[in-house]
Amino acid sequence: MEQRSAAWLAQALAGARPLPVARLRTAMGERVWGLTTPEAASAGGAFDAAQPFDADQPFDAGSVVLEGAARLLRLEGPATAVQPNAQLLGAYTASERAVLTVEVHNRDRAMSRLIGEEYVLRQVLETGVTFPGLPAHHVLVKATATVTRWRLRKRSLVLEAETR
Amino acid sequence: MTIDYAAPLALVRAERYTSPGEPSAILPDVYGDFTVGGIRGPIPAVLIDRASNTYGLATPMTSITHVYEEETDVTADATITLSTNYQGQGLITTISFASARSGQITVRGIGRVVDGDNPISQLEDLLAARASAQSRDYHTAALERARAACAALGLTTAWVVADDRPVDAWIAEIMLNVFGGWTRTGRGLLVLWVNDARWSESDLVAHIVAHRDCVDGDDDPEMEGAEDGLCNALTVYYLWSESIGGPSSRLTTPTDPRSINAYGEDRHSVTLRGHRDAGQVAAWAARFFALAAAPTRVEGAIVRFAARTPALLAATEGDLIGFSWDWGPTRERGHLYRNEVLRLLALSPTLDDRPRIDVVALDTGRFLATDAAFDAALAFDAARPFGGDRDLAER
Repeated sequence: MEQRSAAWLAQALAGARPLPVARLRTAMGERVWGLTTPEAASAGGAFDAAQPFDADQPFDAGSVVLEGAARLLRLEGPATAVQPNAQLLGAYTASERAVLTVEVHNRDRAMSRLIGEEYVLRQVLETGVTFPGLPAHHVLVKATATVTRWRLRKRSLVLEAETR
Repeated sequence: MTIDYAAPLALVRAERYTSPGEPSAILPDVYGDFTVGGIRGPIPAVLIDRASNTYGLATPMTSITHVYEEETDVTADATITLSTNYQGQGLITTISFASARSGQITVRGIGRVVDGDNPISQLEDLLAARASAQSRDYHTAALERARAACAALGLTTAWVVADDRPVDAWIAEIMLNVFGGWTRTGRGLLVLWVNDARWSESDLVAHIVAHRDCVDGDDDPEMEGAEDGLCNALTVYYLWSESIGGPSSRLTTPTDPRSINAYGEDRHSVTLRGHRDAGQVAAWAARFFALAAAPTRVEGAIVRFAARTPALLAATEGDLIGFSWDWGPTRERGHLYRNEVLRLLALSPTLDDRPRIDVVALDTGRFLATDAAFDAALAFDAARPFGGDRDLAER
């Protein structure tokens, strides 16, 4: 059983709709991304209603990024590797090496800036679950992984990460 | 096409002489300066005549300074003939002794000197001599560009060619040592390039502006960066000795501190068989890190897009293009991703009623100084700094 906050547990017991969350840490700060679908928005949308997301958040190199954005398009994983990695002793244990995929939107070009101005590869990416209205630190972390690949398009940024 | 890339080089074997030691032994072709490195000589000589205790090298050498038996200097006992038509089989270098020798005979000296030991000229000479290459086998413009790039970088290499590897392995080996690449076009032409060489605007074959030239406009390009290719620390072995089949115990460990600080250390090792100079190895590593260590995050990233422009119809793999995509990663000082210089890695044309070319390209980390990509008719000159002012940047 993983550790949860009392507020988190209260929401869970009340049958609130769970929201997947991704959290990326780079040397320049932390980003916590929630779902952007209209369906999720109606249930609370951005996971922290008390801190509305500002899409035009000013970005200066060197300043600390603390983005709490309704930006998540897709969250997959951890998808456990089906075949054991022969080079990794102990890889026969399930979830020894798993891949997470997080897709976040780039309509405001913020992810173009992220890729262009911050070191993303090998940074920590966490995925977790929370409930609408809870602050970011109440997120129940389900997987912690290291970014191994990024794919940038006009509409979105896909981050792939591996648990290690 | 006259080069058979999968076949081994047609090297000289001892069997063509009347009384060889081992008939299958390969007489080495020697290019460049082998005066330093190792305890014994880096070039092995092959016994070609047991009756006269004569050893041979396939190349008429420029000079031989020392002859060794194992690790003992036996120069005083040797009779060296730098160029002789031995037994009428063509010009070679011979080393003869008055009495039979039991140990491995090796030499130190300078082999064939081609164009000041320019690696591209050495490759051209090797392929002409041992793979029947002709001038029509090359993409001539790319060949000359690569040659000029090596000359500008001051690259000199030295090679002992004495193994059975196929032609393409040797091309890859030599192009690794100049940190370049190679490919063959659909017409079978050999294209060579040197990474991070100085280039001029005339080297760029096209300017692709994503919203104008891509099939789906700005939606089309996809850029991918991965940790697979990341390398920011190297262990480099050089001063190769063919006599011992390994590098003669010299190594350097160049690193890219900025990249290590960002990603953690990712060390790989490489053996540069053609290098014999520590300064050139350091310069090689610096050029390698500029691409592989991703110091400004996008170098070495792959860009995929489908171009509808006819501008790329004449392009070949290895060419450089200018590329502007406003949704790409932000660059230095907040500049948009404009006029970045990409190297074309793969081109897949679909030539039906809606022609398109699927492109895979590599971000070189470089960019054009002036932002003139928006008008193909515009001349590149320093007087026109419009659009991003990237000509004011450091690089």
